[in-house]
Amino acid sequence: MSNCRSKFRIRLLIWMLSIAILSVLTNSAKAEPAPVPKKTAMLRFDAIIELNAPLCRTYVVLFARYWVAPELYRMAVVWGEPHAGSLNFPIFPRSLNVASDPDAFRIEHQFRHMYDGVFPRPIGKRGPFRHQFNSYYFSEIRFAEQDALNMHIGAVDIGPLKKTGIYDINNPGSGDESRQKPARLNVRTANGRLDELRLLDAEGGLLKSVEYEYTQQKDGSQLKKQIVLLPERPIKVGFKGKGPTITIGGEEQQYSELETTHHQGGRKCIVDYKQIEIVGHTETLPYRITVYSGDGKRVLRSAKLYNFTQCQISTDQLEKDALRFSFLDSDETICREMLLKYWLKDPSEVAQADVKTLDRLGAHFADKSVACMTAGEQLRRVNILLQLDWMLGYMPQLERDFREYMSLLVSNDLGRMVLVGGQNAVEMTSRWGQLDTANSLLETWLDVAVSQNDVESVLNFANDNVRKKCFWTIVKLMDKVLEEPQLSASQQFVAQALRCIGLARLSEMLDNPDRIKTELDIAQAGWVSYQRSAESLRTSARQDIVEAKRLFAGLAEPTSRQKALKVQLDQISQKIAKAQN
Amino acid sequence: MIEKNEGSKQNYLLRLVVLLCLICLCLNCSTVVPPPVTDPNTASDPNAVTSAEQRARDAALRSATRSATGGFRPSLEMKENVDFLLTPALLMQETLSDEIITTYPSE
Repeated sequence: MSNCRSKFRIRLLIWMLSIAILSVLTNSAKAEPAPVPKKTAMLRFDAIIELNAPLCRTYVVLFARYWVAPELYRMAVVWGEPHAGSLNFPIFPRSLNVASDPDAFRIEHQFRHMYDGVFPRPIGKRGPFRHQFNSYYFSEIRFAEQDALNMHIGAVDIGPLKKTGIYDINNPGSGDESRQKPARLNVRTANGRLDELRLLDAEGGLLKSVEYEYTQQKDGSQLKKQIVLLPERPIKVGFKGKGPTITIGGEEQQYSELETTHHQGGRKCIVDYKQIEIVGHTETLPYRITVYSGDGKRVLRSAKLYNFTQCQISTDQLEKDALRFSFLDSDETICREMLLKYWLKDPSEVAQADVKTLDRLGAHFADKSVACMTAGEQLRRVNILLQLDWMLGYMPQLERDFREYMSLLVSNDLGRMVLVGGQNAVEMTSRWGQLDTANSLLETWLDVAVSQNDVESVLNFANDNVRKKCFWTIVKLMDKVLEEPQLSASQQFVAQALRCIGLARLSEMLDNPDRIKTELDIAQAGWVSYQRSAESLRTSARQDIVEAKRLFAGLAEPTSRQKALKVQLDQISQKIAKAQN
Repeated sequence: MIEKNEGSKQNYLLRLVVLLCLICLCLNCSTVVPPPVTDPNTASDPNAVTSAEQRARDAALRSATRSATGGFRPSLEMKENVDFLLTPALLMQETLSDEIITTYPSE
């Protein structure tokens, strides 16, 4: 009997233990469910960003994709132009990724890792600006976001808008030193709409003014345009080392930091809005941003936003999509490695196995469907084809691919990049020693460049390139400009003078081959001597001088640029006379 | 009296311009600026002298600063262009948010 009881107790115990273990297991399973990635609703769009640097006289176009949600965003650069030559930017832009979320700001690049990093929040302060002579660390872009957040104006800061009027509001967040918010807001309203907002500092100085323009729709007024004025502002700059010594009245003082002016002359930014349909509903969104110099005369940079779509995406998937979009895939990586291996080498030096690989890549990229590609992706593809043609010496194909490159730029309203990128590709072909093809590409380039740009833009481009010693392409470009029937006397003079300077410098180059140092000059001299002698160049230059001087004499009020050109012409004239004597 | 004052102002301005020109010529990394010239018309008033000296010193320092900080300008231009890459994202965030007034994320 007692055995039976004890067996029953043992069974009961085992039962209870089993139930307990099962319960614990079930609970633990409930406590740690399989992780499901959280998806965020994001707005995705593409952008063509044009960047001018008037001081350095450069023009760069970047092609990027953005994913934006109220709490996070990501940007991936898929391409940058000009590609064949130098590009004025702190880092090769292709494959550059920037991601921002409430935890951190991240920068990533596929090949160049000097600016890669995860910057946890708070980001910190920018400190004195310490970069000189066009250098700049890309990683400092993180402070731009912080600066923008500091200037945010919350809807609660303004409160309910008065129907009509102009009034001031003290900004409640301005006391918080870490945020450095504007101290006061000046608000102008009409019909219950915000017409103007002026952000002021504690002394009443203007930090930013924003005017809003609306368009009347059936369902009320919609924002059409924002006109933003940014005045000059002081910025502290810091010197590396001890800094300059300034002596005033015998008193010497060394300055490690000084104050200079940011946004010199001010900035005028215009944002255009329109209603855009996204997945069955319409949103009023910005589609064009243009930043001018303060007087509104010169475009400094612009962004065209397009291809808007909405997506539900997890952060992991977002990262994968961004990297897949911007990073080089395995075929592009092979192409890059081959280019490094065979840079400027004769096609006969390419190993047979590599010729096969390059042929396979050529067929792959040529057959690739462009139907769903963005402008940046298409330009990336055609540039890879140009590189393959250079390596393999496929010249008829190079001419076809160059024409496609030109038409892609034209169809995306990038006429100015036809000048810069086209010239780079033509000169690059001459550097690969393909002089007949370079001549053929040059003709294509001249036709497109002159048809897609006004005369003043072409002359400005030519003026900058004579300074950069790109003489032969500019001589040919000026030939083309001088064929234009509607040139003013002033334009004729500038074109004639620039052509003369180019011809004279080239003849000097051919006369003194020992002095030729740079790769560009060597290629240029080889290309020119292939078709002209130094004497024939000099003869043409002499004729240009006579004509240019005649035109200059007829100018009522020569500009400073025209006077400078005249001085150069006089110097050339003297040099030629001296050489003749 | 008015004429005298105007003459003195012109004199002072002329001297200031000459002083600034000299500064521009002399400035490089190490900058030497001649002592501020005191206007003889205000020499009898010690406060005016101090103030004129201070103004001349300030002007000299401003000019020296312009010269010494010239190298930063191309980099500031690059900074604006680099920072502009974030503008579409930041502007879109402002537009999407109901809590923020859309201004402009100045680069």
